[in-house]
Amino acid sequence: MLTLREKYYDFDQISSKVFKCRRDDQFFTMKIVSILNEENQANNGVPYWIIREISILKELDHINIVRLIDVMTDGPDLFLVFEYLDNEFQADFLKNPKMFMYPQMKKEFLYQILNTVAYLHARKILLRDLRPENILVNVRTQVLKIALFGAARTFEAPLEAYSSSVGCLSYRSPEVLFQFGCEKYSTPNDVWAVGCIFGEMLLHRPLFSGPSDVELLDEIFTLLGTPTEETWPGVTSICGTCALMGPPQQPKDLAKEFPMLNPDGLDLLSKMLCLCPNYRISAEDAVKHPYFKGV
Amino acid sequence: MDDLSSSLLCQENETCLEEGGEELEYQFVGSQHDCGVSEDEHVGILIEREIVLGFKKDETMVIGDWVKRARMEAINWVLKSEKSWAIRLLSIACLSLAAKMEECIVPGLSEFKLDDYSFEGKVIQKMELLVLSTLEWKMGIITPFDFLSYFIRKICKESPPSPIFSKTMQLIFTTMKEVNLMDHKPSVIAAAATLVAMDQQLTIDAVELKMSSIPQHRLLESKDVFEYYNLIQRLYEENTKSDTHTPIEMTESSRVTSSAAMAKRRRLAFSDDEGSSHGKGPG
Repeated sequence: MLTLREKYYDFDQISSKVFKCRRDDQFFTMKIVSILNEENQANNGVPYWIIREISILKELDHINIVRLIDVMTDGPDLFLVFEYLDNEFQADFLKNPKMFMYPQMKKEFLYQILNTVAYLHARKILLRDLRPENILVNVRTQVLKIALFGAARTFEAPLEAYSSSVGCLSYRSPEVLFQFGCEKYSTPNDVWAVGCIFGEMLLHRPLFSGPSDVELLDEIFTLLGTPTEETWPGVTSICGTCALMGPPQQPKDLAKEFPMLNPDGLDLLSKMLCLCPNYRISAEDAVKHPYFKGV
Repeated sequence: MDDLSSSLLCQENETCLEEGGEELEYQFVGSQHDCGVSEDEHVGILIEREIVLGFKKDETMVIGDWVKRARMEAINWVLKSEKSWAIRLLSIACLSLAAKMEECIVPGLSEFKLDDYSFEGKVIQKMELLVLSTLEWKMGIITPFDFLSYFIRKICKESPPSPIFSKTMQLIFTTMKEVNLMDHKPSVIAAAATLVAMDQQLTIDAVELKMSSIPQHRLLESKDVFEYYNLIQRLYEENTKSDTHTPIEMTESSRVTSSAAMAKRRRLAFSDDEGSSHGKGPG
């Protein structure tokens, strides 16, 4: 077995844990992940979430997912070798001003995101923390890539800590915010996150930005209305927080909130932002939505 | 990502083996809508992946060289259970890796203590990494258990007889000792075992008919399924015969596991009325 330095060379540091490197004529991006960290002080060997995440990523082969090519070990460090994305790819795609110049391009990218989510869901894989920061785009070729494991956070925090971890709440679904079915994150949660990204593409600002769970829920209900037993069966029994939130609110007219969107687009957006996870559109169905006709 | 792994659990846990699978039956009924993903599509993908992984469509299964080498060597080493410390260490690392992939609550390394050896966490981790690199980190291997709940639901159109899940699992465990599971497609093994658990009198035509209730049956050769169906029955008969006299070749160190397996096997009664009796429990 070749060692790391026998196999890869011309290391070029990009950030503290990320390198550009070369093998033969090809470039790669290498991320360093340490097995030993605070959570693993008892030394229980390679943390299970790292094994699970890497083994999942090794099986994936999709144009819109940053591909994991190789995994090397050296002492307590893992070196994840990803496909190299050149400078034309820019992370945090919604920060790119060009994004908002061409409506057709936004639709194209939304379609690629949904397509990827549908691909993952069919393989029973959940994204769980889909955020614009982890999405890279090449505006010239209109190719979008999701860095599933690009965020260092994924490795630093065990999966259980998801609901309590600090960081960006904006893309979390109401059922997750309710801590409803904590042990079972499910596919609708990912679709909600795409819905939020869709909204952000249109508004040029995060759709919801509440700094805390309760404030975020309040923002969500202000736009979409407070859920009732009718719109979300069983919600009253799970929603202890609802009682704290003052009088129930009526949903706003999305057509007024998103005047730039055609009726098909409004229909898709409202279906992705359906409060009740069981009634929310699936990624698979969203890809087939009339809004994407001609994409 | 945790959800993927838990959805691919082989549904094997101590309780289900000890308790005749009552809890498991419940679990399997309840788990259908876990992920909100179309089960049909998921199983289709699994079957396609089997083919990609090197299980050829015809009956001579040729698995990718690296998988076969690595896995078979590891399994043989573990089974032989030689005295050498390296083999003990490898066994612990493999067991730990399997637990990390499959278990909802992953046990700490300290729980894998052997009487005569005590390995430091650091050492086990090194061996884990060696195994992971050798397998190229492809740990999500498809097993027959991935298909069971789906196949049982499709093949038994009405409510499936209660202990069928555990019965099917036990049939697979029984054959596991005698044949190399890597030589057969996991989906074929799963389908054949399900059919044996349901009915031991099927002809090839009947097998074909039953298989047609599985939407992906075109990807599954009825001929292969029937062949394995017969193989399971033959092995089962041989085992029950030999059970009454001498337990099958027991090496000194595998005594504990073998006798546990024998106990399991004895519960697997095949009286005619068993299939229809509901909630018979461990017997």
